[in-house]
Amino acid sequence: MKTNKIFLALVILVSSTLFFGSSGENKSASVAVISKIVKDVEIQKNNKWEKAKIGQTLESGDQLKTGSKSLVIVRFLDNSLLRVQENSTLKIYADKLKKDMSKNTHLEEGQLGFKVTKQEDEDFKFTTPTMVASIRGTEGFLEVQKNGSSMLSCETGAIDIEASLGSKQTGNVTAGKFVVVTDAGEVEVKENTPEIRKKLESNKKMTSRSLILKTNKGDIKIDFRSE
Amino acid sequence: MKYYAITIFLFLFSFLLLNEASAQQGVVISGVIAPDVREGEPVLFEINFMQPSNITRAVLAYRNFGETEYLETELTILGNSATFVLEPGKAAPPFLEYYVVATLNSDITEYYPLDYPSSFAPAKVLVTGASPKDLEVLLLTPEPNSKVPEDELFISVSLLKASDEVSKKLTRIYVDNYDVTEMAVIAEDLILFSPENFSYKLNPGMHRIKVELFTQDNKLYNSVSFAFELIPAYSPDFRGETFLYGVNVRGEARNEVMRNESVWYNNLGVDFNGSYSDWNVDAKLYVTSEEKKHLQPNNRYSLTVGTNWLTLGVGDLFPQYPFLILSGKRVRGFSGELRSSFFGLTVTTGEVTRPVDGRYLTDASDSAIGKNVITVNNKRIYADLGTYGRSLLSVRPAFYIGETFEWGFSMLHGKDDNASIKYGAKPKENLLFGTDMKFAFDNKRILLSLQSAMSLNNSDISSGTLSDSMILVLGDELEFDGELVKGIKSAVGSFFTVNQFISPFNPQKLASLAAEGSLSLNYFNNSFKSSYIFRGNDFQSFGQSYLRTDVTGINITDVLRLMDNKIFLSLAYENLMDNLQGTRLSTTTFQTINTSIAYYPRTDFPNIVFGYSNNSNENTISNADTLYNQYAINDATNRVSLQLSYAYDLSVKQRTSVFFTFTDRTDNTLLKNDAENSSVNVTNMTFWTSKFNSNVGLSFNSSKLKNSDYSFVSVTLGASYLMLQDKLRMNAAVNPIFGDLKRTQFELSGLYEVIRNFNIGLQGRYFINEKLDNDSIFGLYFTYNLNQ
Repeated sequence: MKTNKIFLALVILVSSTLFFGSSGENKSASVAVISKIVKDVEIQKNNKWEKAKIGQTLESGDQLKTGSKSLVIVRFLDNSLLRVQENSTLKIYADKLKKDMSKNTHLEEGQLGFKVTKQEDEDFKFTTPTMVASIRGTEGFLEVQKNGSSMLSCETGAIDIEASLGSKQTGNVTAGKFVVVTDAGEVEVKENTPEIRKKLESNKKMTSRSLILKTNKGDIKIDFRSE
Repeated sequence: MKYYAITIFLFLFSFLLLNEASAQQGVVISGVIAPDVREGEPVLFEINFMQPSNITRAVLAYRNFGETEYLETELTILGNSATFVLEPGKAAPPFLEYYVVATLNSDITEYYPLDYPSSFAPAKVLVTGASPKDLEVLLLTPEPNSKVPEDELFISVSLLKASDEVSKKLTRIYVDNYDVTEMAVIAEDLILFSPENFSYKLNPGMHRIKVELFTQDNKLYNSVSFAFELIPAYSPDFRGETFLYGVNVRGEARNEVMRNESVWYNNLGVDFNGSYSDWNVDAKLYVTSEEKKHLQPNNRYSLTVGTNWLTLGVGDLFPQYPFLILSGKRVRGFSGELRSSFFGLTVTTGEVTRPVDGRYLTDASDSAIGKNVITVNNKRIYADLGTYGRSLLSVRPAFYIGETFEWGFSMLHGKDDNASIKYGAKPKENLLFGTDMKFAFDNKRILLSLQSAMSLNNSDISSGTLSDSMILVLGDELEFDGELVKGIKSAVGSFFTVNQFISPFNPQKLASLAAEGSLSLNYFNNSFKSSYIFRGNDFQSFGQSYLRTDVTGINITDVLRLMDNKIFLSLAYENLMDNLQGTRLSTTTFQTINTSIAYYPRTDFPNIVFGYSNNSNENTISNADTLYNQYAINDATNRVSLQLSYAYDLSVKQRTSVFFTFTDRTDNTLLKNDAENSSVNVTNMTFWTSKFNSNVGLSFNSSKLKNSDYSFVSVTLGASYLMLQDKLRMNAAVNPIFGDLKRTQFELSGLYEVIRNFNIGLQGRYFINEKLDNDSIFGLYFTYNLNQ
């Protein structure tokens, strides 16, 4: 009897492992691809950092880091776009369920521009150390500032904001506005200033300059972001 | 397309030259390449010529199904070809019709298709419709219709949104026409392909990615393709805070021996393209040995600087104004356009015709008459008349409300320079005022367009403006309203020549008015358009040489899309009439019915387009009218056409197209100018490997006119091979023609990449003619790109 119970438990354990391990949510499958790299971009897969390459696929849990005057552009399978600017670190999470994909991008530091395709039942969230933003079909940019606060500007569409710390205020950002979320949990929504608009425009430019070094072993081309 | 147009030309020249309809080859137009497109894509026309020194002007005319008139654009011949790109969105399903006409120095015109004057059957570019299933395939990189540096090209396709019917592992992917599925990685929803794995070299220029989806039982579910442009690795196309530029240089030396006459053509072209922040600079220079003072200019130059709110250009420009005012005309001068969100201003001034003097022939008596009898230095002479220099000034302010409303006002003043030549007659002047309005509602599903213009013309300004008293005197003698003409003089006399040669004298009769309006509705997969035109017989614009006048009527077109844009049922009806001012013996009505069924299956089945049209013209003069029956018009033309094109696998990739037309014209007048024309074209292209392809073509053409019959059969055999580490592409073809036109053409050409961005090419053609001396063309050309 005892043996049967142990056997049954083992069967349940193995079955559960097999069932949940092969569920419709395919966590180890590719969720995005790197479409452009300028200068220093690294990717962390399975806790190992390595130099990123154009065409490299990203899986849920992968992390990206950009150096000075560097840029990486990431495209999710639903054609949503991230432009990760210099000195940034982010981690992507994504769950695929049949034809939908829920995405969560955590920006630890730095700045990124985004263009998100219209979401129906899918979920696209941005998180930073101080806020969570729910995106539905929008374009804008997100920045984690040096003082710890987060700034998010919306060019088109609408975004729901929730502070993660302190008073955990909430807010809503619509087209033409930006929000600052402090580490005290305060949410302040304002109209885009000329400086913000300029940042929106420069964020969209995939500007790079090339330096070509001629060596006796051939040409070495170095791309970098211009000032 | 910018300065990479020549690169595209070279790519097409080496890859698709053998796909020309060389069976339609004439004396000067050797062929036209115009690939079929998908709705929303640009249409690229490449027209190849022989003996371009014999051509004074070449024009491409095009229109969508059911449209009354062709839009015409003057072609700029560079070397021995001309290219024209019709913007995305201008070509609509089911097809675009076009023809090319070249006017030779001898005033003879040649058409492509060659039999167009008798058959009125234009060539077609098939325009397939988009499908909702196309949205199930997402091209992640490169972005569709984007420019990609060649060192950044990586192809990735997402099948995340593909239907459950689709078996993703059966998906196939093609680059240009090459199946690269085996070299790609298909991982669940993602397909990845790196060109480094591809033995076929992708040169800078336009390329196409095609993705085919299959169902679980291996049936083709959908096929969708995307275009992108590959640009050299160090390209100025990505703007920044630094001035980036690119230069393209090309040169050619070519010898043509035609009818024992040997002519050398040497030309050099330089294109410059630069950008700084939001500003762009474009400069073009083309110099040729065909530039002659006694002909219109063949050299070309232009410089354009612009940003999104201002564009300024000098040199040879093609400014665009409302169709009735200025369209498709080269202007050598200055053009500027200022545009804000609510107001725009366009100004153009320059020369449209260069002065070319005539020459003295002989003295003439005082009583001699004739249009070439002129007075020079108080002496009457016979002269070979020259061409006056003609310039124009055009201005158009316009007001906008977003994209829903536009209201513009146009003025054009054109004038011949009386002092520009010595041996000329009847210099002319032209003044137009016009207005245009556009309304767009419900996401441009409802479009209302209105346009009108009134012209004042002077057919001979050599005597200058008359005084008021002289106007009254001549009014009595020549029986026109002198007071009315005095009124016209007071209104415009300060800048327009008013004398007895102005027209119309009776503007209230609307002889010089042109007006048109159209309403388009796009709902429930139905594109409906109705339009009305009115063109007085005296309407004229120096900026629009190709306008039909003395006509009024309606045009109704309906295109119904069925089965996810796979089937297009099209119907058009047009009813026009002339003699608006009662100046003709009789009024003629022109009635056209045009129908078409197009099937673009996007599966393993050919594209099929079937068309039928009936055109009848009739006036009120009957055959029984013994006095005027030679002016009777009573004819009907029926035309049937069938076009098939099919890309399929038969061990290797094949592409076959068949085009058949039959035209029958019945003339019911006493002249009995009946005509019949049949034409069949079959071509097949085989892609044996990524480096080698071949093509076979067969063409039959037969024309029966009242007093003559004419028919010929043409066979084409050709091949193209890439060798020497993909640096050299060789092409060879032979084209014998039998029947009433007997000729055999041999062709050998090669294009070699000497170093990166520098190519040289060699082309040789030899024609064996029956009963005439043989002809030949041999040429050497090069292209070079420099980027910073």
